[in-house]
Amino acid sequence: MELKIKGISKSYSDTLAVDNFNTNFSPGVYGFLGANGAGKTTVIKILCNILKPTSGIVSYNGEKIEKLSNKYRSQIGYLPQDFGYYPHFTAFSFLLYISALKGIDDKAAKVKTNELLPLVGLEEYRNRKIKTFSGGMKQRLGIAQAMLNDPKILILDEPTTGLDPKERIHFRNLISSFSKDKIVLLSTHIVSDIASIANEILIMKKGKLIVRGTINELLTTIENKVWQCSIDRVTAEKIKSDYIVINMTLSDDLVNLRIISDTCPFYGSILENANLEDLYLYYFREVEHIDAKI
Amino acid sequence: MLKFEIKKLLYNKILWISLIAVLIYSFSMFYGSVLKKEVYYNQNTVNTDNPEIIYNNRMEKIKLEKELVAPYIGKELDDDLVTELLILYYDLREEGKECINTAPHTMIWMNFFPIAYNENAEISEGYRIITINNEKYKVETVEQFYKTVNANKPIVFEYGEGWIALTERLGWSLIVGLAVIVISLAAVFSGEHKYRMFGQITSTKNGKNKNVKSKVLASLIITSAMFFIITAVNMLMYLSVYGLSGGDTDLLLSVLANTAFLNLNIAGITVMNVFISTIVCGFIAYIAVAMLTLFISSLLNNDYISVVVSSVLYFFPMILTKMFRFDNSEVLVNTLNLMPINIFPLRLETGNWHWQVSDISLFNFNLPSIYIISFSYLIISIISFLLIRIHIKKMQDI
Repeated sequence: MELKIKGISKSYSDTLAVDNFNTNFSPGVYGFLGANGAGKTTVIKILCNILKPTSGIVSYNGEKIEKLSNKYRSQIGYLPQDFGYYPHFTAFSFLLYISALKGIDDKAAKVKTNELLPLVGLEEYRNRKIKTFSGGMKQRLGIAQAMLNDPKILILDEPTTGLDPKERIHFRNLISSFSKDKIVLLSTHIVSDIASIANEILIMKKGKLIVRGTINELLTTIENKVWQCSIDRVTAEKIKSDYIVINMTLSDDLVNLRIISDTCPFYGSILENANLEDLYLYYFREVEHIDAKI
Repeated sequence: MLKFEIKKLLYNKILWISLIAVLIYSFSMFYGSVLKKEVYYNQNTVNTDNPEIIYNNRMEKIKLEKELVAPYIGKELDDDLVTELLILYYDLREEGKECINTAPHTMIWMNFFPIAYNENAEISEGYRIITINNEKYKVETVEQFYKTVNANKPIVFEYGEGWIALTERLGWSLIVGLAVIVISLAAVFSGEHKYRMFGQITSTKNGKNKNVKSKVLASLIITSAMFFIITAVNMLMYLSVYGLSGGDTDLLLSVLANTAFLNLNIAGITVMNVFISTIVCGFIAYIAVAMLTLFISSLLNNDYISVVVSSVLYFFPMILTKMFRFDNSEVLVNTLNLMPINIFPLRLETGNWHWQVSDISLFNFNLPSIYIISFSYLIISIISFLLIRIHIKKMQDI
């Protein structure tokens, strides 16, 4: 099973949202990282066959997805960034409706819905109208609807929005157990969501795929570049724009900084192990620098 | 999927509110024309201390009128019957009770208008002189009347006021009912954007084809249900008071012939034919409006704009043609008359008294009959469906 993206671009009037995006997916969990407006959602909509690229091809097992049409769409599970629902539907009837849209027969739809509702923690709310749900409950319902057809390709755009830490952990476990022999694409700008479950990470910036690799491969790019140091407040204020400051905490008169730097920024700085958050900020330094007054 | 689409439509509170409003409107028309309290005094005693009450309400009037015309029902229209009905009219007028003879009055005054006869005047061909209460009147002969209307079978007198009232009022109720359809269906496709469901739906296996069919089918089921509810309620109201008989009343003897049908030869048509035409053509118009509304809904991302655009498209032509007086030869008014909403009254308000007017034209071409126009709307409905399918397939979630 292979999902291949070849040279796709998408432009809206004079804005280039996606610029010559190339990659391919085989079964596994992929973290899709990028700042807001990087073009992740546009790529996802193209993958879901609801947006046509201005140029380029998306193929599934060697065939263009436009040609495969509903055969391809029947393999997809999609949770949009802005999950839609009918407020007056109950969770149960909403899932049955989505099942019908996915071409699942009534009997199988009921079985699958009864299976998924407890998995996403909505069993006791099955007959409650969705308009009464909290943000987290709606998001869990969104995850359930994406999984109804047991999709070969699961595409989740910002799936953990509105979930509390416990729900996030539950979600990660759910995806891990679901991902066997499937392509799971998780788009997010919350790196902790994918750190423990993604086999590979794709980072997108200004419409372009700038890097792709396993977490370890990507982390080597910032190996020996993450430093921890404690300096006084005045110095910290002076240097904050010279470095990529990942974290800043105050203790007594000193400021503890976590910095990305090719060289040792100060005498006494300690080299730290890099993590995915450091990597993310390394790539998005222009917009992510800390601007707060110390 | 169909049951969910129907459920989505039925969850729309506006549908129920507007349906209730239409039924209230239908009832108010029924009340005004049938149930309303209306005391009518004998005109000869109205200024006395003890005026005689002829009837207290419209129901009593209908009952009296049915009794009055009972002896004439089933009689073939001939010169004797015309004379009898004219005598009946003048006698009732003498007695101060002319208020209770709507049915014969309509027929007489429409087709056999008695002209006071001047002894010196020439009697034109096709006319005869009759004497009523020592007064002489010139009246068209039935033979001439038959010739003029090309009647190929004898016309029989019937009391069809119930079917006439039903047909007239039903037409207006159905026009108001169109608002229910427009309001309910305008959001079928555009509303998916409001609920942010468009992307989710179109990313599914059936989202771009079967779902479109289900939405259209659900809309047509709701449209049909609305049409039949409005029709059934109106039938129940009017026929429960007037009774079922009288459907065979010839159109030429009814008030319905006062205005010209849209290029339709009305000779030999009964009021029941007109009622059935109203149902058939009206239903087609409902389907056409439903399909056009769905098409507009598929083009727009905002359900409110969709309601406004659809409403303007259907009701503006009616407002123009009904509220402002146009000469019927005007291209604009005849074009507007082709809009589906104008199918319901089944005729043009020409202002012409006589039934013969049937050559309404547009750019020197005679407009087709109401049946051909209705059939055209059926074709338009099918085209709309195909356009919706093509459009939704091409649509992108931006």
